[in-house]
Amino acid sequence: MKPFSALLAMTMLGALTLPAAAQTVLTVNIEPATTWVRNFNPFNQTSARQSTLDFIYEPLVVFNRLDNNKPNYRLAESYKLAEDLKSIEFKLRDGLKWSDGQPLTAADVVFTYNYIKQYPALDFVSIWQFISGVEQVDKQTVRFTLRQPSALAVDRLIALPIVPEHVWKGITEPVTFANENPVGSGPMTEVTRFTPQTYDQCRNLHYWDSTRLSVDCMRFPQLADNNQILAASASGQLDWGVAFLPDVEKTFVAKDPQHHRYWYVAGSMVEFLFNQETSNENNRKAFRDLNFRRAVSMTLDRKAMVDVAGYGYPTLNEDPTAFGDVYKMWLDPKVKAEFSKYTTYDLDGAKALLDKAGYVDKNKDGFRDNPDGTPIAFNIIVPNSWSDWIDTVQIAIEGMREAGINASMGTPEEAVWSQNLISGSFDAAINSISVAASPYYLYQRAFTKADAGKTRFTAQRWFNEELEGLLARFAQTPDQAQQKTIMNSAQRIVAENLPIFPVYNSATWYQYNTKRFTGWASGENPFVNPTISRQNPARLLHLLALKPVK
Amino acid sequence: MAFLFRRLGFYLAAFLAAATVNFFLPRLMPGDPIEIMFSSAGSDLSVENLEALKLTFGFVDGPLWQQYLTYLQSVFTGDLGRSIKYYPLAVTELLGRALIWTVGLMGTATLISFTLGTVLGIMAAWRRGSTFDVVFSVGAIMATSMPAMVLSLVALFFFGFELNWFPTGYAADPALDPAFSWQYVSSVVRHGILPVLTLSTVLTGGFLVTMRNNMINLLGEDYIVMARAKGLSDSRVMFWYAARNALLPTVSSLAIAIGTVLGGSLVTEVVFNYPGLGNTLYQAILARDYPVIQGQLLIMTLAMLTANFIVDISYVLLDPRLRSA
Amino acid sequence: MGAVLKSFAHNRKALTGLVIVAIIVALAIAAPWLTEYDPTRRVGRPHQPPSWDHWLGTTRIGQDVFARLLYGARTSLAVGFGAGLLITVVGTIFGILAGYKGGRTDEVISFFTNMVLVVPNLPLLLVLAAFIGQASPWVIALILGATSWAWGARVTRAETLSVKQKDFVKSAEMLGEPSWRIMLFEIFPNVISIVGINFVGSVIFAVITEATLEFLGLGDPKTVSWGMMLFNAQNASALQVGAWWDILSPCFALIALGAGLSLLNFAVDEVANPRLRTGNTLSRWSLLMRRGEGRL
Repeated sequence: MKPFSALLAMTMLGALTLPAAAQTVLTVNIEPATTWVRNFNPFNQTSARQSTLDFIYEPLVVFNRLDNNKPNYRLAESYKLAEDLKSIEFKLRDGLKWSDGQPLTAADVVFTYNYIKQYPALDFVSIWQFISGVEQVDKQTVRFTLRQPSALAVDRLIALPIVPEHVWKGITEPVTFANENPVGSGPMTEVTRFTPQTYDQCRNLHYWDSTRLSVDCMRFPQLADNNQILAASASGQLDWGVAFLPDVEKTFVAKDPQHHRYWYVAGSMVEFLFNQETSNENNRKAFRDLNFRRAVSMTLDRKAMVDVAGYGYPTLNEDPTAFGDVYKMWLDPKVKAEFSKYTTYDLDGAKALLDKAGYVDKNKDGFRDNPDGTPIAFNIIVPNSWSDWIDTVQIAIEGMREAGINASMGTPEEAVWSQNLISGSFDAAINSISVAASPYYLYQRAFTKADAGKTRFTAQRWFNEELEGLLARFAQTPDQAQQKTIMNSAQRIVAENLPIFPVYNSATWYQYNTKRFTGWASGENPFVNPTISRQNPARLLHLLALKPVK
Repeated sequence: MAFLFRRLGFYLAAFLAAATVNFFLPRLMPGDPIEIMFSSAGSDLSVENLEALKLTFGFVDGPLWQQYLTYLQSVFTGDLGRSIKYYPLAVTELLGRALIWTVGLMGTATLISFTLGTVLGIMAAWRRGSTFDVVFSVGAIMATSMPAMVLSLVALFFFGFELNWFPTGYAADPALDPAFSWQYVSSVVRHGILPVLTLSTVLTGGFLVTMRNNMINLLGEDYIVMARAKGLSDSRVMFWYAARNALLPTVSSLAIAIGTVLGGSLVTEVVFNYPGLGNTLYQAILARDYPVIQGQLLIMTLAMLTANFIVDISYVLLDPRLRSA
Repeated sequence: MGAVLKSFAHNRKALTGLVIVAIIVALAIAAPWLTEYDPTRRVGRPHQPPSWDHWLGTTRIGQDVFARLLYGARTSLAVGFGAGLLITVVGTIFGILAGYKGGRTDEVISFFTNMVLVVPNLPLLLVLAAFIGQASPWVIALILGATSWAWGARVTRAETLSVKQKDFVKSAEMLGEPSWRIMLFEIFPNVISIVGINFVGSVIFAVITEATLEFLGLGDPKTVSWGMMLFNAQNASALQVGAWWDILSPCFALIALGAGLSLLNFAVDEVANPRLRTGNTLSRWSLLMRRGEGRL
């Protein structure tokens, strides 16, 4: 703590805040970087600091996925979906202020959405394809009208930041605007120190919820890569980190078993998939055959993938529905019982199934061929720098070859991999779909026919009209019990057809140090998703839960 | 003079060629460089979002020759554009930040290895065939044949992680603000020791062998033999007569070495997380940050050309035969 | 030539170097008989320290380090010698052509040689490898060959210029021999020591550069080579988790090969030039190496 206190005194001279003795500093790592660049533009998804959203720009509402998706009202004190599902109203809290002391009203929300409409490059969730208008009802209330009736509007609308009209109305080039001295609504808006090697983000004096906030400043040391982050974590310098640490028990926990902790919550679902529309005719025949897909899925040694490729950090996903740990409250146990044999590692079963379906080695090259004698051979593509995925694919290939299937690995550049998945010029691939509020998003992303050729999530190009109908109904059903019934039918279709082979859910990284702060979420106290990555708005709730050690 | 003008013309042509390669390289490679750039830099952006971003960043698709002309213009006006990864930092500023550290690191390492290599080379040549000569000249060549990463990794492991003698990253303690204080300067020195040591180990060999062989060539010359015959002391002959003359070719190679300094020392900087030019280039390559890659290559070419031109000038000054050529 | 070979055989450095390189080559060739393991398959638990079953332990995902080292030597040697040969052939042809023909030919070749020399070649290599993506060892060898011949060409040209003045060349010209014959049978044998040094130097350069490019993550992840071993080990933070065998094995393999080759090179230089009369080819070569080393 010693070097810190000297430094704090220096920081204090610049920032006219509380006396130095009262300052508590939380040292945090969100993103690796070789140099810090002062950019706090909340609409910038490529080069702005990842501490911008949530910490500088408070969301309207944050849903807590680990607490039954309960809404935590932030800038909004409530929201209300119209009966006809065609509009939604948000009511802001009374007396909200921006960090420069100006009032924050519904006019700012309306301004923000119209501003985004004017500059589509800012619209990183394509919100204007979803809403058709925004209007101010009164000083505290704003109403969005939707293009299609939807029960899920709120999920979309809370992803974008709300910015102050009095600052941004003068900005004519918002995409390139660096927003060096942000005026925000969140807890940590004041940038008191900024050098290429470290920056501090401190308390917003006008924060509406400041009584719950016990951290005065967040400090972000620049760390270039995993090894640097590991060194900083092991030495106890970091309080809150989000990084892949190899062999975390040995390299991190063992350095200070009393204080160094980690907890890895299940994150994005990782899957193998076959392109149903591949240009290779022979492969296509096999890929479209349910028996072949089921057999291949049974050759995947998911446990080895988790333990060996993933150091045991990911969560096993043997759900034919692909739900896994993330959406387990939606799972229909009957579906799982009926189909999980096809998503469990069983080499003998796979061989038997292939034999029965007529996939035998006809041309005597050592590999199984189609029942009509044409050969099957495919590459599983994986981005060339993602080493844990490469190891996962290697394990998959070992299993497939063991069962007599001629699979190999292709390792294109990340961007080429993603382009191939989108354009459909590949045979087989490993892919992932990120976590969302409900399994509706998982299926909607992967199986919406209209999205084919637009995103990498539809790469397998398997579509089903009945399933799409169910999903559309789900989106227009506000009642959760009814939603559950619909989802039961939807997951049965997916499990029966096995269009994708889930293998595991990646870990969301979260390491913490209990030496200076308490209140951390953990496996024993899983009150919120604690990872500080920008994909997790609940990081704001976690920050508010932290208290300095006396 | 004519010779110098001819060289100048050559350097201009070389620079143009390098600039052209620089322009076409990303455009000849598979995949849309702009899409690759954005997909590496960020998350999954929607199609509409991407189109709008491209427009804003000025990647307007025009005919190739038009893009080329715009590019040439920006090269000659010194406007290298802005980094994509570190938006909105100008490429010149990003490189400027890194330049100081690289010049410090490579400058010190070059100075140390030049001095050490020259002195050891003189001594090896003087005692040619002795154990000293064999150990140092063979050792020098071996050190030169060792990949820099091997040395850096081993040094980092033993002195950084195991013994904990030196910091394992950065150019200075990140908690300190740059200032001319004892605290800051000593921190910079402590952070520099390991990278400078590994670099010097690798660099010394070249200077040592060059100096040794120059000396051996000279030691057979008549005037050296004369000087020894006259009974001058060994050290006087060694340093005053032989070494002075043997140094000339080494000095010109020093100029070239300084020309390459701007390239940084990529592997060493990457392993030690040193914020120099090499590390910047590496990060830019990983992120497909084209403006930075192009700017860096151009600046390095320019430095090399300048260093070569200085060598040319020194040749003209030192070798009268060239003046008329 | 005979005398050269003889003094070569009597040179201790040459012998040591030759033995080291020969052992590595032999190990690479005999790989399938020396290990039962497939270098690409998981054959044990992750990161096992060296034991009787796994002489050099296992990697992060449980491959046998010794097997990878043996099979990796094949790649490193093949790229080293392949690229080295390519660099030398191109450099020698251009050098002799420019030196002997003179005039326009010389001007054009020298212009290109100098151009390649002043453009920073290693960062360019890095960028090229990155843009090509998953550069296989052969692609790396090709890029190396295409971009690194200039030093050899310049040195060979200088040497050709001095050989050209010798009486035996003059007399061959007098006799009306065609110039290709003169270049091949009169000039080439007399610049052979330069070519030799250039070759061994280029091999070292190619081995180091390939390993470095792969270490920086620009190689093809499917390759089994020393550079990829280093990359994978570094990626798995082998040093930090205490799996020293994973990272030190390829390190020492590279050191051994580098030492063997450089001893050879040193010896070639000594044997060829009792008083280093060729104008310090070796020292020029070491400068070339340094240009690379400093940068990469």
